[in-house]
Amino acid sequence: MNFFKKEKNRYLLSRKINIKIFFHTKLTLLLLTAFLTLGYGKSYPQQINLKLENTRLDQAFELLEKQIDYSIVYEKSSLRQSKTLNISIENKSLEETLNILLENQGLDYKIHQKYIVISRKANQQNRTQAVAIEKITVQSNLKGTVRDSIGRPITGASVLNTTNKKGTSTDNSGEFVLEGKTGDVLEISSVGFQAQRYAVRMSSAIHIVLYPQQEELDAVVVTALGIRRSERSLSYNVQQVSGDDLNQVKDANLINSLNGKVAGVNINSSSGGIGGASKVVLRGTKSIAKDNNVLYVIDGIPMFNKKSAEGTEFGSTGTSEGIADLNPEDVESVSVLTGAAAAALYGSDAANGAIVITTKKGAIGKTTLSLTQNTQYHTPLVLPRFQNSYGTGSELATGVNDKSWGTKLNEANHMGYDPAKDYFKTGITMTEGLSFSTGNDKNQTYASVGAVNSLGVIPNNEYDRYNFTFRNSSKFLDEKLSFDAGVNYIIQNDQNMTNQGIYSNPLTTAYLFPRGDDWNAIKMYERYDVQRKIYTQYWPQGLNEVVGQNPYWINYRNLRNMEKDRYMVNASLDYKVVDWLSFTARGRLDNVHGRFTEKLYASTNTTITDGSPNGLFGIQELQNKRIYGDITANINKTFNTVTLQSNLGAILQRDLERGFPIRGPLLDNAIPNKFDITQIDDRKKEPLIDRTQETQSVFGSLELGYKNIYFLTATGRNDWPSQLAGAKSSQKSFFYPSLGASAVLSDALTLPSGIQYLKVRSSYASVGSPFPAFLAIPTYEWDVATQQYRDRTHYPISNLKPERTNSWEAGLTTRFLDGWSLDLSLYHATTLNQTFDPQLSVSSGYSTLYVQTGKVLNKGVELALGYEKKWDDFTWSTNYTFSTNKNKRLELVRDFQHPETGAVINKDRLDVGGLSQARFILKEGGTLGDLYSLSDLQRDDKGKIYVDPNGQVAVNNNVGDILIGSVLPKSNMAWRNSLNYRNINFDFMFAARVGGVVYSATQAFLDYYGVSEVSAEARDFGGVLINGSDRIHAESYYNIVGNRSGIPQYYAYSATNVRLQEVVLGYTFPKNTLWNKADLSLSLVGRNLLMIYNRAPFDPETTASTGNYYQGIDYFMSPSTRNIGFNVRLKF
Amino acid sequence: MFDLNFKLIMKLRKIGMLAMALSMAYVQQSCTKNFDDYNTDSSGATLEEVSRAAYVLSAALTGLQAWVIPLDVNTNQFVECLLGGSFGGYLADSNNGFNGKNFATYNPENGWARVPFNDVIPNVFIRHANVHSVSEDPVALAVADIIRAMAISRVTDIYGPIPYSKIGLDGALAAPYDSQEEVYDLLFEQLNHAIATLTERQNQDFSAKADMVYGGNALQWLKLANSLKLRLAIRISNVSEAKAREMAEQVASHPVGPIVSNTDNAFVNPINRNPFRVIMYEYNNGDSRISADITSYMNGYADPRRAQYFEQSTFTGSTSNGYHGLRSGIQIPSGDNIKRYANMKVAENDRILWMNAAEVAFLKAEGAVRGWNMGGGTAESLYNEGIRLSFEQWGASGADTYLNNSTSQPQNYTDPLNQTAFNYSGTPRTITIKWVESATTELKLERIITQKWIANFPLGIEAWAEYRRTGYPRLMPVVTNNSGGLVNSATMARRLAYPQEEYTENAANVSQAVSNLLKAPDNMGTNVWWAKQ
Repeated sequence: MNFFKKEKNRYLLSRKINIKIFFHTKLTLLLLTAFLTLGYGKSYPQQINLKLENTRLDQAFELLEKQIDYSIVYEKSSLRQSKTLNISIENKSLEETLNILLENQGLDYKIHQKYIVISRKANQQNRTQAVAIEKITVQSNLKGTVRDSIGRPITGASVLNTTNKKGTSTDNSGEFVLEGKTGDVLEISSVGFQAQRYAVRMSSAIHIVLYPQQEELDAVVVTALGIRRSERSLSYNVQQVSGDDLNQVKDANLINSLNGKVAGVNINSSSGGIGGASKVVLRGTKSIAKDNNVLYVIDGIPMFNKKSAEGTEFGSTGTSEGIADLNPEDVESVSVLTGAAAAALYGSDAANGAIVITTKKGAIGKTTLSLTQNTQYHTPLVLPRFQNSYGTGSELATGVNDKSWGTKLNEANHMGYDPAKDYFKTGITMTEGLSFSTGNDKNQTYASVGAVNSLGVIPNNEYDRYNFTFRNSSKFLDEKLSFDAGVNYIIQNDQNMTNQGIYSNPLTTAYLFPRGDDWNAIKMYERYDVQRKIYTQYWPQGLNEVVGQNPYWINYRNLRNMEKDRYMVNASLDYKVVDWLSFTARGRLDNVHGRFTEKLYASTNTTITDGSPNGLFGIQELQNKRIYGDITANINKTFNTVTLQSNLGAILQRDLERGFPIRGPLLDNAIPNKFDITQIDDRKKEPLIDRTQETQSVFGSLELGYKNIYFLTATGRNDWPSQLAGAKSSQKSFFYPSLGASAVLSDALTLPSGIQYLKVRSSYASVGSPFPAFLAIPTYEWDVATQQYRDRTHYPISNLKPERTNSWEAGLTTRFLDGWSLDLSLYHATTLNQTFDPQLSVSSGYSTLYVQTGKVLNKGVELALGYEKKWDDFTWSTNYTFSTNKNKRLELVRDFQHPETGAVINKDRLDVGGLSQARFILKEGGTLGDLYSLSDLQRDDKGKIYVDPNGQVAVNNNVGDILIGSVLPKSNMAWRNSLNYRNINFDFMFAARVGGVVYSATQAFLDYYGVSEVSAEARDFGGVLINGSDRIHAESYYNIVGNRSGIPQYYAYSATNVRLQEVVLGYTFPKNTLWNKADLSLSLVGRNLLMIYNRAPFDPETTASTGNYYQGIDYFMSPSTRNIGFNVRLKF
Repeated sequence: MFDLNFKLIMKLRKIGMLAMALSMAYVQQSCTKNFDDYNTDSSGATLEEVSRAAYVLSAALTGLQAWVIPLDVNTNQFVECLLGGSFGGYLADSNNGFNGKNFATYNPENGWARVPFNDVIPNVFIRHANVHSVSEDPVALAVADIIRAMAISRVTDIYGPIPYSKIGLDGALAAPYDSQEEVYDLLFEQLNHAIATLTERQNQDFSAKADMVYGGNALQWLKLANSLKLRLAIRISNVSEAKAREMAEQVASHPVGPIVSNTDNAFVNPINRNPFRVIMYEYNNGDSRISADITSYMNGYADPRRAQYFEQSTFTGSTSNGYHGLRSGIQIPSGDNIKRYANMKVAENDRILWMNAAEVAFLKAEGAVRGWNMGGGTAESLYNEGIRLSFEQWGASGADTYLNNSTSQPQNYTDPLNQTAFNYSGTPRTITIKWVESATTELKLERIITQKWIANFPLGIEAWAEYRRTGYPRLMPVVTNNSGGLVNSATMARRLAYPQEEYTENAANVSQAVSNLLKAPDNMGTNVWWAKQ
């Protein structure tokens, strides 16, 4: 008997399950891995009695479940080959019972919390080997192997016997020998893997499987309010990306690293340069007036993602954003909740979906110190094509010295100026990180320091960031009370972030520089003025149209600096009252102090110094603060086969924004370039910024699980936002619910053997959101131009209602045919009651009118398909993501009843913005991204371009609205591949966007000024060919077509593009090569490496603005960059 | 089994909902009391705040005054410099970035052409309505009506028919247009009402803080109202002579009458800096320069006012400097030379002209030529009075010598930099200064208008209107006409087309206006009602 039991132990327990990531249910992994942190050696005191007669194993489990507090979890397919049982069990422990039931079934079990997970055993070969090893083992020594989840030996893993404090580490084949005996507890840890505790039941054949960190993330998903949930139970789409995946190829704004890794996310990185604010839209743009950007959530708490306004047409100020402040190294994982249902609990802002970031904590049972260094070099990826064969001047007019329509240059006077070579620099970003993690059962600590220093491709553009993070988690009172607290401190400085526009944008003059002029002459951008005793700008080229200045003067003497200090403090306290009930209180304070300064030196173009010959000085002190607190009651109870999980709580969130802006030209009698507020003319003072916004909420959620197969979830939340306070608001609060269901069909039904796992889900959510602040309490506004308070020019407001997005989604998750996985979601979202202020005919006596109407529909598909295969030492895993979204505006302003006059208002056309003659016009049935042109060339009645007797074409502005296309993509896709051979890994990813248009006013300017390659080609060919036969003088043609930012349809391009998004080639040095002290991995990385297909003269995925109606417009946008560099990671 | 679960679910949901409802009630009652404060924009001012110390009245009235000659620099640039300055013969565009989109070459982009309509009309109406909503003082209301009349008369003179009488009626979101005649009738009616009110209350001054023009002096406003009425009467004299005469003679016989002394001239204070100073000096070292039109006349007359009006050119090298204006309506060359032409003499704190005594004298002179009763004075004496008043206004001496000069004629323009394309080679202008009683009526008119034009510098919108009504002064045609044949260079632009926004937001009414009121295509070549056919 004794021997028999031992045998069984060996057979069933000493062997860890060997699972390939994709082969098994995520749930299994979840439970297994979570289990690791809790230790093994629990006893299960129940006395079990079972009488089985010809009983199938699943039936046996069902009978067993009735006698225990545990749910038994398994994949149906794994039981397919199980034998029927005829056993009688009396007064056995759970452990013994399971051993008996699973004997010779090829199955193994794990117990974690309230679950018993049944899984298939690893291959037979190992088992026999294990038997063999056991036979020759001396009892006083423990012997075993440590492998990873796909069976590769882990070299240099540390193995500690916590009982006798002896330790060792594994050799090249992952084997170890250690003093000890049965009953001892081992702690096994290795870099990149979850540490594990292991209770020794057999002194030999100890097979330990360590799971990479990310596998836990695959299985446990962080949902609303930081509640970790099994993916199995979720009724909506959540996609998770591990911190490692984000850190592989770094970006100063970590959100950019997410690009292509999840389906349904549209990320447009900023043209503002390194650290710039990205526009992130999930499942299409929904709101006509709001910015549609995603909500960021850190550790369950919505983050303040404040950014300042970006320049669009004139001011060229780029801006960073709150999320870019995070240190990517601190990120444990990122979950993307693309739908509104996922986000119903985060509040209104999550109607656009949420990106939930979980940060690292100290790990139990191991101490690690890791050092990373990353260096990347940046060069412009896509630039317009320039000419340098024709010189300064004009063929049509005299006295033109700022255009390049002059004579063809010869060898003697050829200047060969090329912005790519002569103006842009190679940018560099250096990132250093140091992180430390330690912990035991009761207390874990994580600390890190990070530094990012970078220089952009535009001279004198800098971005620097320093992060300091400390986090401690501890348990008290018999592990009933847990406390988790963290502090982040961030210093971020940037200089001269430039996105697009014409004022203070060096690219305008760097691009338009007359090609017969000598670039070297203007490189010395300032000359000493003997009389004024200061250096003044040297810029004979003028270029008044773009308020021209020497590009280097803009770089070095038009300085814009942002200095930001930010700290975030968070704490949470969790008290477990009884087994099934706990209370959690959390709080977070996020405080940003910033100082933005602007120094324009004397002799800067007076248009931008407000006329001062002495310069201009601006300084703005900014403070942004978010205070967040919540309290929740968490209920977690199992009744037989029913599990219940519920959270009830209340939230308070208060945002403060303060600003003290002072800006003005240096007075006539000021000292030139003396930048102090005493020197400025402050007659154009702007009001102080002092805004507070608060939302109070209560919420509840309920999830019911049946047999761990069927799940039903309901949530409800009621918000009282301060924006709804005031006489003009018809409602003070709003309620929004969600409902969802999911079922793991592979456990519920017998499916074809090719399908290992299949889950289906569906959910519905309705999310409300308040209209903008201050609308409900009208005030007189300060008018800077007249320096007085004036009545607003919009039509008086009344009866405002909150906006609402109703959405449903359905999806499935499946793993099939050994190695394949598929995640598919379909969604449909309608956004109603949108508040916006269309322009009115001035014959109303007002400029705009606030209406609340509009109905926008977004529907689409998200798909992620994966495959992984292993051949001995070689592993290949591949992932394809695809998403398509159809945006349709069903209604604009339809039958809106004016609250005061009762008049019925209908509008079927709304000009919401754009540049020059290219306008975003909303029409019923169109999309929110429809770009129209209001101009065309004059045409005859046959549609041919009209050429007048002088051989000139003419522009016609009376052509109505000509649809160019939508700037929104039809679909986005990405294909990732990861190849591993021993210690070498090679990853690459392609990303593509299909559909949509973009418009380049830059190209129009280049043509108009004769600096584009096209303009030179036209001259070479003796003119521009139109109507198939007529040749028009090139300069005369581009004078018309390229002027005033161009006739838009002549400068519209397909936005479809395909690029090599990421490449990583890495090598990990085995630990033994480093005296078993450390792990070292080196990799070469590249982002945005190669544009494989692109028809636009710029990168269509770059955006100057995070607003809605400046997408797809290039107006001297800073180019996106190709980034190549290397990573070094050293882990002790 | 499932039934049981379901019941359980329902029960739990009920408990959950109850708990939520209870906590909701609690939360709402206790902590949202600050929300009204939070939701009040602290950068704005509440009704209670603006009511203090009659701020709201002074803001509304002074705010209204900012929209006659727009004090907002950008609006001012479009309306006064680029539009009025170019078409009135006072200024020429000097930023080569404007090529292909400026008024001066007759192909303005919509962003330019919409400004006098879309920016001026709502600002005037809202502020006028503000005055009415916060004040019952008949003097203040009369003053608001005068300001509105002055501002709107400029808008109708630019476009012709405009929405006016029905703006904002019953909260309508779009209003039909009035014919220009109706607009003028309404303007006279409003002015008459204001004049009657102020005649009764000549000594009831109002708050100086509310008045950037006359410091709250009711009598001076009365004089300005009469003067404006006279200006508008003369404007319609070709198309509605009876009404014009009636209105003009009412002004002449009014006990207070119009502005006759420079002390009553209407000037508005700049809010920050004089917008002309900003535009002519600060924007790109000056986006406009003095037009060759006015320098040709004043150089020909050796006009002593030149030193007050202009800064001399600053050419380098062999080119000699003087009052060299820049030809308007050209393809503007790039480079620094364009900035070296004569500039306006204007300082940051200079007040901005609305209407002066000299103009009133010239208006009366024209009335006298027409045989109207102008309350004494002959055409000649009124003409001479106009010149004297203008010299006095500008502090120039030598008025008598000037007005007795019977030989000097306007110069022909030769570009100082020998850019031959800019030289004027058309019919020489021959009008002399000294009044000739025996001259034809037409010649008398040309003489009056020419001198009024010089005296009205830099009121471009007014000058352009008078040019269109009378054909005087004889301005040089544009060198570059980009109108595609819509504008005849010989008669210049006759109006502006309606903004594109009207066609999208008020389509039915603007189409009605074009076909029934304007009765001609909506473009720059079509005449307004009072213009010379």
